[in-house]
Amino acid sequence: MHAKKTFLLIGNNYTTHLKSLLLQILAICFIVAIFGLFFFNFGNLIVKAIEKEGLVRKTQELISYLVNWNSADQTEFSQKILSYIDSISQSLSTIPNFNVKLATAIWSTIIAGYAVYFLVGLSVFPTFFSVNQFMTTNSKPFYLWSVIKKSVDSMRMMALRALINLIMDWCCLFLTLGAYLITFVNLGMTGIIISLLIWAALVSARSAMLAYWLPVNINETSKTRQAFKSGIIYMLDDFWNLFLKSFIVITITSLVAFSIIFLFQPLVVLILTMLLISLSSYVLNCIYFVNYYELKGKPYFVKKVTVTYSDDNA
Amino acid sequence: MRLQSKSATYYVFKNFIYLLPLVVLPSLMLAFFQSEKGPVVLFINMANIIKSGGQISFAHFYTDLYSFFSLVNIKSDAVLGINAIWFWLFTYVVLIIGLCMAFTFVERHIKLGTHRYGNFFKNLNESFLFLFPYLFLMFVLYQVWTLLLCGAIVLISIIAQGWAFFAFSLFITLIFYTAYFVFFSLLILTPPSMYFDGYRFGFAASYSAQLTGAHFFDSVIRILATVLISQALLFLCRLLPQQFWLPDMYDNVVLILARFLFYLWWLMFLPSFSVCKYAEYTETKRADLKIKIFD
Repeated sequence: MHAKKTFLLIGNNYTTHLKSLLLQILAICFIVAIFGLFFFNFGNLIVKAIEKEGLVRKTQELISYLVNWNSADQTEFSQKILSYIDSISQSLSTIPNFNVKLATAIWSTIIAGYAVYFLVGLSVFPTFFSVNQFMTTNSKPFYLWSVIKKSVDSMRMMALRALINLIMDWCCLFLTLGAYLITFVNLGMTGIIISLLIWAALVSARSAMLAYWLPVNINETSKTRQAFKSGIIYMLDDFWNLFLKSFIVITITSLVAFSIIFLFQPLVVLILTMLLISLSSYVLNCIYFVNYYELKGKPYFVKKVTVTYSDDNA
Repeated sequence: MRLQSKSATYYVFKNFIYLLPLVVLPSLMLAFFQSEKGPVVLFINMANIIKSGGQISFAHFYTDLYSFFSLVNIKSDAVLGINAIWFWLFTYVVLIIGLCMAFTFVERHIKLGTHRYGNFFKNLNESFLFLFPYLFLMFVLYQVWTLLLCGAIVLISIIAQGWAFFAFSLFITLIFYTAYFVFFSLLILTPPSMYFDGYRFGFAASYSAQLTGAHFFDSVIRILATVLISQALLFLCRLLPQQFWLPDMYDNVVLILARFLFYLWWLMFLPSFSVCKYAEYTETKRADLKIKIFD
């Protein structure tokens, strides 16, 4: 299944991913600064309410309860989870004038979510433009140049892609949460792992559906919606292949993230999780590019090739 | 027998008396109405807080953090019954006019070798459209870039505390400022390129990046060194009256004088640097250089 080629491609273009990581950190700085300028007051209120209700402590208690899991006390655990969800809504309702601010809060959350998806995703297009250049011509372009040159294409694509990704991610999250609360809440740890697997399957399905959008947009047409349509048509040919690969990557990532939670402080967990998400999205896109080239039957490079002339067999 | 030095610093000192009347008013106004805060003040404050064992917080993003970096001087206190920001805006109008004058003078002097000033409005008309896009772009870029820097500092304040936070944020600030000034000096030949060759802004910018890219370390290190030295001197002038010989009432006078000299230097140096470097890199013949026979 082209595993060797994929690993070679990932390894040979890793410096490009590091550069794109810098861009993503800049995007996060931008979001923090904009929120600091305009909505800092509301953010402070939320942080204070969370501290007052002790949500962080309750989360840690829940996790330590999970670590010392005992199969006897299943009903107690489900009680605990329900009270935890209750305390989240409790902490939100302690904010003064909450009903007035609720509409503002919802809209600003939606806008902030869209901004995160859009700005962080802006680095994906130039990165894979660079990777694609490497695959076709065996030479890497100057990264900043490709960022500036492809910025318009990148924005045009991300405006649509961020919206689709945002909606589908929230749908996956709520579907999993609903399934867990209705069906698996009495199973304890088993229920959590089953719902985690369901979540991974849903997310990898959405990831596989949009797989060929980026390669088609870079290689065939610069029109975003045209690329979306042809990407869907190509995707239908080997959906299960893509789904399987995405499922493996996403399951490994989520399991690593799940195990990190027990090991470190909450803040370190947040940073490491973001790095993991960035890395896994890079790996997934590399897999899709290799798959795309194999599907189209085009030749491509996965490592640096130097051509030498020898006098012996000229 | 040899030619005079081609460096911009030499040019500034040689033609100081001709450039002075063009930029003395804007630099005086900048010394009075530009914000006194700077990143240096922010870091001194933070070091004091950390030394006394206090807690650093950025609860008010603008007043605590961004106003130290921003060029826009929003003050609530009024001068003569008018809000200070109107004075600040007027200062920038005068600044752009003064820079246009100095730029036109330097260009004409280098091309033709004449010291005449010429008509005020014709001078303004000659270089305003070439200088304004560059200055506006750099202003907007500075605001956005320092906004990003402030976001990074807030993120660092979540991760680290105490002296680790101080060192990290100082390091990040130095990196951000270096990146900004590298970009600044990559495009610094845009106005003379538009003036001499008549390119549009985009082509002139790419030509400028190409020219400075070919002499990258020459131009970039000159700009960076000038920034570093002038900031260090300003910082010393800020410290000296507190430490040594002057009573408290002269603090403000020394500070305003130092800032006046700082802005005066920059307003003279920028046009001279860009035009001299453009002439040097494109190997244009400079009419202002005379041959020294006896030295």
